[in-house]
Amino acid sequence: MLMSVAVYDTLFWVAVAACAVAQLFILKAVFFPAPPPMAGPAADGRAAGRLRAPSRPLEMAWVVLPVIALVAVFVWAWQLRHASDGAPSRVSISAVLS
Amino acid sequence: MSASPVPGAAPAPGLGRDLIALTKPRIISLLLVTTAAPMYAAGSPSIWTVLLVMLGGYLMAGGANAVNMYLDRDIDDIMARTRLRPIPSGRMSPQQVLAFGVACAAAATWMLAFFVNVLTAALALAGFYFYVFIYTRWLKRSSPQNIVIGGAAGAFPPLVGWAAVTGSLDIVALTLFLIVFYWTPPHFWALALMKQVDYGRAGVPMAPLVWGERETMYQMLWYTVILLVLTALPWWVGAFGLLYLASAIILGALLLGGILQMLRAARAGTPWSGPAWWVYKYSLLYLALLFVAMAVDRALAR
Repeated sequence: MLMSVAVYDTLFWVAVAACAVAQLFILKAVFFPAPPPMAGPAADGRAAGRLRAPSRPLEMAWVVLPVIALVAVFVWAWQLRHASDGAPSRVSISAVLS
Repeated sequence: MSASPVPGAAPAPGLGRDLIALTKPRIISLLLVTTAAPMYAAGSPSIWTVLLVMLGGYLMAGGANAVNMYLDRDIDDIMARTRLRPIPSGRMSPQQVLAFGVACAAAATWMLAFFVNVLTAALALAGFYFYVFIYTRWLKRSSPQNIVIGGAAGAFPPLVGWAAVTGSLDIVALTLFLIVFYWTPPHFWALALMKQVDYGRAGVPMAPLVWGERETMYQMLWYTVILLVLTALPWWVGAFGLLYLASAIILGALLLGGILQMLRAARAGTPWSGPAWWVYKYSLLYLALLFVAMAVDRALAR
């Protein structure tokens, strides 16, 4: 399907925005956690000493790591598409695979 | 390797069946789909290359699963769904299981390095180490991020398949890795929501136990949003065509719909286990069909 470069770029930025919003909610759950459940299996596990509280700095590091990979893949994708600016709007598979 | 029954063991269903059970064949079948499909998406591999990579992949993943059962033998006896495994049921000794797992991984590394290429073997071995040490040994019992970061182990197969055909990695391979990575939390948290009692009893801090059910469901939603965007990225860079894009949109919309239905039920205070089961089962089909769509799209384009 042939589309203009502007349409492709708009789709890209909409995708980036959607990921950014979702990623913010993912980060929020770790950086500003809600209180743990006060009833049910979680509370039973804590009361019995089976569930340990996770290390906060490590939790933050783990949740940031995938963001770096996500940003890298978006930057790489953008560069790949715009490396051949002025070329046809659809990047060929051979360009991607080479 | 001798595998004589442990004294006082439960009736043996047969050593062969136990060895196969140690590899968790049902789980591996999906890993093999996410290995084979990228091979056909990346090029036109010979049937022998595909068979070798499938066998090597099965041995590596099976070895990792066996070592996982060795390391988790203390909690496998506590959880209902793992109590009948070969070690907790007493049919095999822990040493036998560990030896089997290491032997499988060693054989897979040699086979992939000798008959395919070193990069393929290195990636498969990295997946093994990631699963055994990062997920099982480190994160599984210490962090609710266990499934998120540990999920990277399950994301190695597309890299293995891609490297087996091209001998290198590129943005499409990295995107396939991230697709499996972001697919893993919604899939496993759907199961964790329904097995909270088991995980709580075993002291495994799965997300529902740490964040609560509602927050876990929202997290499943956010991971799915990123997953759906990532599935469109290979089309955007021109690696796959419209057939793939249409498949990704339809399959993704169904997954998103299932998660929203589960969330709606939870917010309304009505039973949500039905939709959660559906999400768990459908997410397996989702990933398999998505990867098949990649291979078919490329096959039709050639």
